[in-house]
Amino acid sequence: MLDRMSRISKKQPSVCTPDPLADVEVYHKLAVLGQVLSSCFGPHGRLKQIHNSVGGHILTTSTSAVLLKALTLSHPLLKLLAASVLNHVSRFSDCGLFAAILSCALVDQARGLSVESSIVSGVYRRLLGQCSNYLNQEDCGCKVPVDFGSSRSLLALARGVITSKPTCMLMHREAQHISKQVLQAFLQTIPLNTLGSVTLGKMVVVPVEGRPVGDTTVLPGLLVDMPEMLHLTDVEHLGQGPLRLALFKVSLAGDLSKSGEGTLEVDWEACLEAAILEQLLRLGEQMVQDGVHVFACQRVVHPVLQQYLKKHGIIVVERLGIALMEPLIRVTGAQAVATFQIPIPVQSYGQVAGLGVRRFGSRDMLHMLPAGNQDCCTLVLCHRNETALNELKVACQRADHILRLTLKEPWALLGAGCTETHLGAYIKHQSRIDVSEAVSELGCSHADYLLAADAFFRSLDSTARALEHDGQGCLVDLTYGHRWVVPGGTIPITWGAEVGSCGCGLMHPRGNLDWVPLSTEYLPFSPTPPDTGAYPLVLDSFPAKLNALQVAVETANLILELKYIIEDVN
Amino acid sequence: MASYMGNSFRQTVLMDPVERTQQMPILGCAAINQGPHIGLQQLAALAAATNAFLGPKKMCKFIEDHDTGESCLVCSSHRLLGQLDLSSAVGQLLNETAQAHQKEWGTGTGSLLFMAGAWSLAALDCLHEGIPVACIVEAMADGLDSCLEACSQISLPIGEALCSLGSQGGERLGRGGSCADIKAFDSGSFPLLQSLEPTGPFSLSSLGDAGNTRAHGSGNDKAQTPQTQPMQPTVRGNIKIKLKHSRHFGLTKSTEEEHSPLYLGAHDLQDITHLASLVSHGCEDGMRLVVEACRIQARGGGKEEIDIEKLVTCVLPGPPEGHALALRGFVALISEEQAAIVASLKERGQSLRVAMFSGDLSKDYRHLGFSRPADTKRVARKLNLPGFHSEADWADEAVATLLKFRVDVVLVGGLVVESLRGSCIARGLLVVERVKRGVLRDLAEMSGAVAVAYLSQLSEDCVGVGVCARMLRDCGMVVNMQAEGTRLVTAIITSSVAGKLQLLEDRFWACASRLSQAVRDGRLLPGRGVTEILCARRLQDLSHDHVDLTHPESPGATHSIGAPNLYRGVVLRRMAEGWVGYVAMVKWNSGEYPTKLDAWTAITQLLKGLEAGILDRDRLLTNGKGLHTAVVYDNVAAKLEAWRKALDLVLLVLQTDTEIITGFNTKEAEAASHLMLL
Repeated sequence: MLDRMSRISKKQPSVCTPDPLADVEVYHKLAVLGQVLSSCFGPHGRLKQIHNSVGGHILTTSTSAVLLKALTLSHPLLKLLAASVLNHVSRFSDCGLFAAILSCALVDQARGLSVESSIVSGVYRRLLGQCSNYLNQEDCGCKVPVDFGSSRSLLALARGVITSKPTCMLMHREAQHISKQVLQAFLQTIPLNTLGSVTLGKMVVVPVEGRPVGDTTVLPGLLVDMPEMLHLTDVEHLGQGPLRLALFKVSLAGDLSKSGEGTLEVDWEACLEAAILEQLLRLGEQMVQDGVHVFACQRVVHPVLQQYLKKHGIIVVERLGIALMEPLIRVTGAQAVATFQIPIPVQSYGQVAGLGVRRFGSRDMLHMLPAGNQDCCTLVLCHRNETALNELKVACQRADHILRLTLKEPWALLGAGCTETHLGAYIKHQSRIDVSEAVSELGCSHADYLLAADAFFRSLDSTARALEHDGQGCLVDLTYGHRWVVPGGTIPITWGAEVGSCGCGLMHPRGNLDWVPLSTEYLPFSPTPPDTGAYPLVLDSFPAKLNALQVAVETANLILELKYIIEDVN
Repeated sequence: MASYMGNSFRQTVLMDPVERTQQMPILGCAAINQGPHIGLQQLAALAAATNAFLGPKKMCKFIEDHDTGESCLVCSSHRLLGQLDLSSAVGQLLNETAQAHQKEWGTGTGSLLFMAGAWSLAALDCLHEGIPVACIVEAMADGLDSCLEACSQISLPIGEALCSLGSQGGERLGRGGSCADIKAFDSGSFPLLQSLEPTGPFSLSSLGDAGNTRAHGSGNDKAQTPQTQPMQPTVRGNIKIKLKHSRHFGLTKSTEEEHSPLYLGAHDLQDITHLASLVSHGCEDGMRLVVEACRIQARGGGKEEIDIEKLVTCVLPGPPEGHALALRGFVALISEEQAAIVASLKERGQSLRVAMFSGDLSKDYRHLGFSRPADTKRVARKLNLPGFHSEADWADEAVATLLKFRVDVVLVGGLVVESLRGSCIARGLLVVERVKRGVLRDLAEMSGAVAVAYLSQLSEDCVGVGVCARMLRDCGMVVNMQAEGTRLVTAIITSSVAGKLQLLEDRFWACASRLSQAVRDGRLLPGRGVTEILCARRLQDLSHDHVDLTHPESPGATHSIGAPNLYRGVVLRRMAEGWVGYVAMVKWNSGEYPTKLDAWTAITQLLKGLEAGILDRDRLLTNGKGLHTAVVYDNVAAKLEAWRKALDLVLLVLQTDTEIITGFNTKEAEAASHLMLL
């Protein structure tokens, strides 16, 4: 009925909106989204409750990937921003909020200038190049090498990701414990033999709700939910030694696999189900003959087949789910079989070194020990409540990803806003030095260039400021360009007495340091690299932040240069 | 037009009024959440609705649905929340938390809700005073952490709690025990008593910091016998046990105690009975039933303690409440025709053969995960259809199969199709539907049966033997089925008022949970609000401490820039008031004080007394009216977990500044002009 109605109604022509940013409402929407995201930023960030007002599940989060995925935004500009950030996060896991906040700030700052947006984006692009060059230099002042000889820097990286999400609700020692476990899991995923090309193993996270965080642990091999009617004695009965495992990804529920379009005509006398069951039982016979000990299936196994296999002492594990298939293939060396109609080649079987039963709270799990590849492990993640556990799971997976990226580029950036302020100071200084060169290159006026460059560095500063949510003051020192925090809103006579250490923990107040509030103007200076022998306590991922910086500037440029939005309203 | 409306779902962002005025934070301006924080207010309001359920004397509530005219009686907080139409995000979160706790622990949900409400108010007060959110979060998390630590020291082993039953305890010990018993009482005795001793050097203020040398110095020469009756540690033949000072042993306790048999779970029935009276919380009837179930389980062999996984309930409207009883095996309501079958089966004694089906028993039933072919057409070449099975044919075949295996009883997890049920009755087969999973599992284990999905799976191996069935007298159409050696026990809960059944069932489960957890924990916390008062005291102590520059024990402290939390003391004192409020509510509900204010004043006085070292410990332990033969105790793990969950919830809501509603369309947004559409 609806179909016919829509055919009758005339197609609407597409709607073209010129210069979308000029629309106050659109601009306001962008600002609100930017505000929502910047209030999420950092370890003291505010959480967001997302729900659908009709009693659906309530999501509490401050993680950009989770938040942006949950939103279905209305305006193309917002969609564009969300899509770029999500794409960045899917590749680099970290710094999604940074990218989004910086992008919004760049657009916001550009709008306040009376400079043509194409010139602004040209300047932005040029400065981005300078930032990238600087960050890639060996003597960059906000970069530290990651030392694989000790766990310190790797732990700091992992902890940085985990503590930056307040929804995880971790006490300090709990955060420390989780970071250690994640690091341990990461180290286990590095294969031992390094001949030829190396592929990393996999960390599988098994969330357990209702147990204390301290119970979180890393186990070699994989954990699967205990089959309901399996008893401990059945597992013990199998004994030790490598056990043969068959792995299926096709449904063995006994239903007809969809074989294409069209209707199937079946004779009344033929019984499809019986025929399929017969095939399944033939498969079962082969399993028994081939001496299979564990029969694993991604989907459902027909109860009759299960009964047959169990009678012959085979352990049946069904409904594994797609997520467990890849690690299981890796751990056991089995091939996932996609058919049950023909005999299974012997090569497709895999092995497990042994089976065990482990109990977490009220949940029994079957533990599969790896026989060959040792590089898959399970992180059993425990937390008191579901909300915190969900966020913690995401955070742990992100931390693992960050650590992996570090193997490719063994560098880390100063965390807690120090990189932003340092980079801001650097850009401010740099833009003053090569004004004439830049002006001739971009073909803009001297003043325009300086205005746009200031907008760029103010955006970096405002991103650093977004880390504070309780009205504390943010300072920048005029030697190293690090970020400092002062409690309360009062402005004392000397900053030195008020501040603790800088954000990343590298610097401590010293006599020769001068501070100014982060939002105020200061004379350009060239930030010097740190000269202390100390190592920063808070680190950010280098590849993630570098890419986030690029994504932020590119996205902001795209938004600024957008002239028309053409929408199909049909 | 329709399609245009269809895809225009958008977001709406509700922002706290405060956040909106603070769009561009200017440095140096300390304008922090001064307006009302809606989420916390909602939390407090919802939690307040459950206040009447705290304490031993619970007030029931009627919930009425104006649309349907239905009403129901609730007497526990999780039921109340479950019945309410909670549309707000916070309400939903609160309900989820409460239900999750109830499912996992079965007890302590009331105190979870009260504390969530109380701490919400505490957080709100702090916000009104202009304390930054991060400081509140840090101090509160820190405060609870040290209270939990203190609680592990306040808690006492079951053996000591049993001993505090005084003269009744002596009876328990009358049996010929071994010296192991004494050992159990020997170490770390009576922390509660000690800690409440007003004149001793162990004022409550030092509770928790076990390493306090001042206390240690004078401790050993003060081995004393307590004077009050309820705590009289009379062991076998009035041997007086020397008391040692608990707090010192609090640290080393575990090593010693774990070796004594009492803590290895080897409780005998009498211990369990006494323990049950300690944790009955004014619900003697429910607890009596639990103890009876426990006794039956113990008779079945194995461990002599309650196995809650082998416990099921059956509610039976009709007989008065006094008829409630516990029975070995499982119990089901059946029809009158089937009652006759049971009577005939009874003659066969223990030799009944049983078949079990995990799902429904019908022609069209397919196991979970089976997808029916969508585009299949059945075609016939001739008109008479020998292959065609009607429902009746199927039922005949099914009965034939059952008879072939000489099955007497059919237990089905789901439902049985009408035609099959009819033919089963006609052939003298007893069919019981909707049998719980746990019951099936237990009966399968005991009788050797295997629960199958389809009739075609049935084989000689799948049929269990050794089950007996009998009708219960005085209970109507109720069959009781037992397999040999089973530990499964069914508690039959009866009431002549049908509306009360769920309430009674809830109470039974609460009692069972408390008892089984007490056994599992091996320790108990002093009840009647004593633990809460001690926690409040602990927080007050902490709040006086000088501001420590490093607080490693706080969320995100790694990032805090060494800035001291100046507001710690204020936050902790507000938090302590939450506990005072809890105790006051419990005391007021149980009628010990005429008004809430009286209760509150009394408890505040008590706390002041504790501080000044002039505490009247009897007030804490014995209601201030005289000596009680039984002291009330609470579960350790469940209570601490409830507090943790409550605080987690409060902190989550406190840190939330924005609520985002998805799936909002343009028209709705226009109607609600205060909402910003993203």
